[in-house]
Amino acid sequence: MNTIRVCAFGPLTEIIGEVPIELGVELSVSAADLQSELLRRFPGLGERQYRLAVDERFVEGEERVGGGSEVALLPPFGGG
Amino acid sequence: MSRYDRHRPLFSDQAWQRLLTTPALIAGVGGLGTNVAMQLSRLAAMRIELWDPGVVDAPDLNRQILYGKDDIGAAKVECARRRLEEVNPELTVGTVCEAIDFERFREYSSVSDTAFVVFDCLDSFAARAGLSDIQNRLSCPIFHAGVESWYGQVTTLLPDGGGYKRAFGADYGASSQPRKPILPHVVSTAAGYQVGEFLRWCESPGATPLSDALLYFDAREMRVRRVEL
Repeated sequence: MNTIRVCAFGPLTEIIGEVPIELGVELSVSAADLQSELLRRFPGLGERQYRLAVDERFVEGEERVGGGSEVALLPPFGGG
Repeated sequence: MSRYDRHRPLFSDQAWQRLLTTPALIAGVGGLGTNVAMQLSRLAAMRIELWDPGVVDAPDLNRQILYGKDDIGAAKVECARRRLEEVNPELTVGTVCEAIDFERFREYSSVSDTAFVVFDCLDSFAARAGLSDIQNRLSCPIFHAGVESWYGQVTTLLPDGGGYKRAFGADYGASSQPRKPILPHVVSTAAGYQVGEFLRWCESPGATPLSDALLYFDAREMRVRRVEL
């Protein structure tokens, strides 16, 4: 079992907390499955759009997120 | 001595000419837009066009730095123009008291006769669809920022670079949120990055530090995160 470290950015810390959380995975997990798991644990994430970034790149859909990665949850800010 | 002496040495002649001759359209003259406009007004004898359909309201005064209490109820673009011309009479400031989209741009803009740049200072992703349309048809760079409470993001959308969809995903227009609280230092920070990107574009129109990246900043915990696009 490997670990993925998930860090929220900005207002998403109000949903998952300031401290990064750790999720156990086998070798890797798809971005879509990771988002589903996060939504299961933190239903409040369903109320905000956000994207996943790994190693300074966005990942989505079936792109794989490997164990040992640090994942950032980044919401868009629309205000001006 | 010139009012520009403290920063003119930082530019090549070519970049300075680009700064002087490229009209800047500021879409939205709220928190971001007033900060961007104030900074541009001090840089050079620029041509600036302000777009906003709104009037000044009391809650705007926490961050919209071109307005004061006597402006409440008046059109933002006209109050902003007066203040900018006080700061720098060498400016050429145009105003359009309308929400921006391609059709209105064609009808009302004074900069459509030449190459121009856009500062995206709008307050929702839905409103940005109009800017996307203008970029797709007229190939202008867009210096984008978005802000909320303590946080913001900045990027530069160059023509043919994939636009908002590349930066925010295909459904970016659906990400509008109810109006959020906002702090003055957050809009000033984001506007500073936008103006900085414009200055780098004047040096090198083919690429800027954020033309292939999104910069997120957290002005509460003082963290910055950069994501490549």
